[in-house]
Amino acid sequence: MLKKLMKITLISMIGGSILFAGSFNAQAEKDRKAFVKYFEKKFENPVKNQAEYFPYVTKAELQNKYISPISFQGFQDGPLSWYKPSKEQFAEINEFAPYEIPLDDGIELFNKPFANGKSYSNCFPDQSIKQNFPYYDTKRDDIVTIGMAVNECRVKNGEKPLKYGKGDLAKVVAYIAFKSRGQKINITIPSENAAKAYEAGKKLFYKQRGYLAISCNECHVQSAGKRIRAEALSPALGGTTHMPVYRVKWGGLGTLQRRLAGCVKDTGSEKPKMQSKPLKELAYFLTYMSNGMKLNGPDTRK
Amino acid sequence: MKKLLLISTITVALFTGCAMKNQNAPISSTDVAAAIASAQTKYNLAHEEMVAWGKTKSLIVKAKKLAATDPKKALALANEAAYQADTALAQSAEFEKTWRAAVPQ
Amino acid sequence: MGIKAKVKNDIATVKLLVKHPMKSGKLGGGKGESKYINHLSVKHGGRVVYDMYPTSAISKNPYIKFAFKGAKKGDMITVNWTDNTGATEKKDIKLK
Repeated sequence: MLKKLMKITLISMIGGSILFAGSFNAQAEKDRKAFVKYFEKKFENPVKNQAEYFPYVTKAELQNKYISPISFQGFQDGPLSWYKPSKEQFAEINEFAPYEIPLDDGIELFNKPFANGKSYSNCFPDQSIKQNFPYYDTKRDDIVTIGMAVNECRVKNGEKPLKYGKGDLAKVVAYIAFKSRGQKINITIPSENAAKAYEAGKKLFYKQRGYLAISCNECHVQSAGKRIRAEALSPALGGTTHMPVYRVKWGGLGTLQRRLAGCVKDTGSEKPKMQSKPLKELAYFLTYMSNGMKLNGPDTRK
Repeated sequence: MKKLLLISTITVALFTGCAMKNQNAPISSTDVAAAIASAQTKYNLAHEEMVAWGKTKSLIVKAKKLAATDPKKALALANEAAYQADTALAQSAEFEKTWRAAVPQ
Repeated sequence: MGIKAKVKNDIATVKLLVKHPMKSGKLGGGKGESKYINHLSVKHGGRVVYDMYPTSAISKNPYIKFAFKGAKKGDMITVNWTDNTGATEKKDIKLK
């Protein structure tokens, strides 16, 4: 009798925990759906929505230079998704995409064996994995990014870790991103601490700070579809699909964290260090917002 | 009338003279150290909340470097850093009340 | 060096993405490394169809696009460049 009772209790506990496992992302899912709805509504018909969303843009420009409507997957192109002149410029640049050179280097680096004879393929037998990063590792209670995974593979095989953000690490990540093209982003929130990390990232995105007292949301949600001086602002939806990115400004590849850190610095706050907690939380939040979008990295941007 | 004018001129001259005298008074190293320490504490608070401005840390570093050779400039830099940190914290408290309203619902 | 070459009617369009640092040598107070392509030429059927003498002003990993007449599908073209340090690269490709 007691054994039966214990069995029932155990099964119901496990069953209950499986049932509730998905509930850690309840708030995040609500946020994400509202996020997508906002952008789809905004770019559905810019001419019609001019008064609400684009009060300082002329009707002529809305009719001639804006692309609409933008499908959910269409947002993966960032500023090129809504602004025709940018899209045409980049179609020209991507005729022979500048990221192809560092990508070729990345393929070479990935296949080159380590000193101990093994290579990255031992750690990543299937390279079509970038859609799961960054993920929350419940065992070590921390966010793991693709850059961290690459360096952990190196250290496990007796190699020195690479510098984050650019250079050889970005090239290896570019290869993994290339192999993951077409996969849909699938970030999960598996525990309460992961949900807290998500909320922390959300606050970093929406709360104003720094010398300019500005938040990411002011440019990339509220002002997506407008311009800041001559630059077309990209929507935050789909902002992480094309990483690592070849930026014409850098003349090279850079990872998501490199891009985010640079933007945080430009808005008057302290530049966060690579793989620091706030930067990872921001990347975690931002990538979650693009769940369901297909990866299209590496790509070219200004 | 003339008497009033005379008294007021002398008073103003005295005050200006005092102010000018204080301007040229040497700045003690304890004042500079205190200002730098205060700026550092305020910056640390702002940094923990991740709201510190971008240049604050470098101002304090510079102030520490100049503390011995150019105390006047070091004091000015430390005060600027303290102001930046104070403003950052005050702004953070204000924005804490309003940022959730900007999240798309 | 990446090369893409297509032929339509009589005209071949060639795109090159050359991997080269293109350093002017003017950085670092004029003491920086100077290494840039100073001659790039493309030959088709024995004649030179594109002849370029870049200066240090051309940026890193240059993208070069040009067209020429008198080409057929399946013809070979040879791209050849030298830089101011004497390094060279040569690549042949078939026109598609």
